Amino acid sequence: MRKSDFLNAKFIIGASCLLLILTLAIFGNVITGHDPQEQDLMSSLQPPGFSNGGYYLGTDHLGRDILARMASGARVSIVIATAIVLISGVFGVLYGALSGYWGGFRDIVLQKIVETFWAFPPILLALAILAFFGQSLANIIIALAIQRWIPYCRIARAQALVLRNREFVAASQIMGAGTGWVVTRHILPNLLSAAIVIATFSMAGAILAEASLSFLGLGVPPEIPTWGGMLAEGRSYVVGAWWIAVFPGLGIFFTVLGLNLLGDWLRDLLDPKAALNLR
Amino acid sequence: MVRAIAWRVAGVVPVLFLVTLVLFLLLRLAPGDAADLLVPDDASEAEILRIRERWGLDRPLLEQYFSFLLNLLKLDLGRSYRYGADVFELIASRVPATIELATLALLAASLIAIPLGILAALRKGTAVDGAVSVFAIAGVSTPTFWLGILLVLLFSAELHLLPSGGRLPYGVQLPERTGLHLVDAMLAGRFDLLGLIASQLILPVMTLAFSMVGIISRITRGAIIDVAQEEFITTSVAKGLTRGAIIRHHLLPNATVPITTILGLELGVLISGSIIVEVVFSWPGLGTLLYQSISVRDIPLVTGIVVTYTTLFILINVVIDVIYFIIDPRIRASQGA
Repeated sequence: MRKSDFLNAKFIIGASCLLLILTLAIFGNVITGHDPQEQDLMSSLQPPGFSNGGYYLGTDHLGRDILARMASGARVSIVIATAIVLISGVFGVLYGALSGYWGGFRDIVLQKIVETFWAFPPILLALAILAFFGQSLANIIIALAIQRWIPYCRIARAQALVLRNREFVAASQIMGAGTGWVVTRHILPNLLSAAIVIATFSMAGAILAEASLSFLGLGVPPEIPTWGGMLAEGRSYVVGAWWIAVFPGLGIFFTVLGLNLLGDWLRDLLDPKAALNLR
Repeated sequence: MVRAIAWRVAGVVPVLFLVTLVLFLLLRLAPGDAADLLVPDDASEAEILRIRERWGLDRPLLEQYFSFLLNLLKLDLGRSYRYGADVFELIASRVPATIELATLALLAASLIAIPLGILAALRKGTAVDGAVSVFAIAGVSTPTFWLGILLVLLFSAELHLLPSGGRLPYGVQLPERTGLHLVDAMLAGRFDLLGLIASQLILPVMTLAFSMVGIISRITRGAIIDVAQEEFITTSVAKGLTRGAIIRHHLLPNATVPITTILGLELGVLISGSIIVEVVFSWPGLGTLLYQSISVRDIPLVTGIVVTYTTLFILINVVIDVIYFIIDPRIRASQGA
């Protein structure tokens, strides 16, 4: 197998996984015709099939349609993970770029803060925040973004440290450019491909983390259907009703797998280390 | 070398200081009165007053932080209001279960992943290599809790081979000395219990190890391939050494440093993964305790557990750095030891 074939395989499988999930998110509720919250106790724990009143993926213990709940779960996961990635990406890049560009004492202080946040084991700080502040969509986004900005900060700072001593930056400063100009015009464009690669992997991590928190019942409020929540609620019924556990898990698996494969493919394609010219 | 190690160990103090500051600020930023957070909902006025006194909530912010820090240093965060027991005593009673699970999982993952990674590197570009890559990416994409549920469904519910959770079967008594059940059983001479204890361990350990096998094998593979491109390997080939001798004496010893690094990086996965695995398998460790304390918003207990996990995390990272000093002469030399 040649290298380019392998790259294509990564892209094709990764993109297909994500396409599948996006189709589910957009058209899932059109296909089933059932509402994700609608309870039908007469047809609870129906196995998947085509001859059971339109519950193609079966029903859970309350007779709710798994397909409809899968579709809303997909939307919730995508929206939350996108918000986390956007917030942490923008914040991390700006923080790192400024820290590196300023240098000196301000850099030392800003990096001490980075080190402190990095000292917490992953998820733990998120759990503490959710425990202290309570559960809400906003809190889960903050809780999961609070460590995710650090990788962006690292690359942005490294890039800024290199660029601030280059002649074109000095020339720009001599012509009167301020910090804002140098950061947005000279430092950020050089970071784009590295940031995109980090964002892809980070989105995979954010989806897994959100699902884990929702599974623990500490994430998205329980009245909103999520993949993690479906697994948690259906856990006591899975013996004899495998579909309750299998489908939401597959949803998470395909999304995360797709993002990881695309991330790998992008990393090879964009070669962020070369693009960053850190030497 | 001793100086470099001492310096690294001393560096932990400011980090721990800042970590507790972050936790304290989060606690104070939380909505509502801090005293309300720290007592159960049905607390009396007198109790609230006592808590205010204890945490110094009537004094300026800086003083409050120092009394928080002092309480932490004395390992005294008061009583958990769900269990009514001392927070740190409660934590200490749960730590061994977590350590037992986490060490065995890391051991199992390394024993599977490192040989797998070496094999993939030595057979680079073949089907074996491809299979390891696929396995690795599937491993990091599988939600731990889902895998746990599926394993229970298969091995407990369908095949009736292994228990679905818990640490000891109902009714079995074991004198606790270390809290590590395998060790306790051996100390007590109850070798008949070892099988029972192991059967309880298999599913949680497998679940937790699975997420790590992928990454460890991939990084091992990368480390071996990097070393294989070094000039001293070319030299040993030119010198006429056998393939086996090169692998044993030149390739593997030089790959130990990057492999130690990933074992350190996997520590985070180990901690966050173990919390979830413990909940799935009702494993009575620190993770389950954290989960239960968050569900009832038992804030003193949550704070104590977060501090404990973070301290463990930071300390183990130091231990890994010290191991570097010991196994890598280059790092030793560069530190001027």
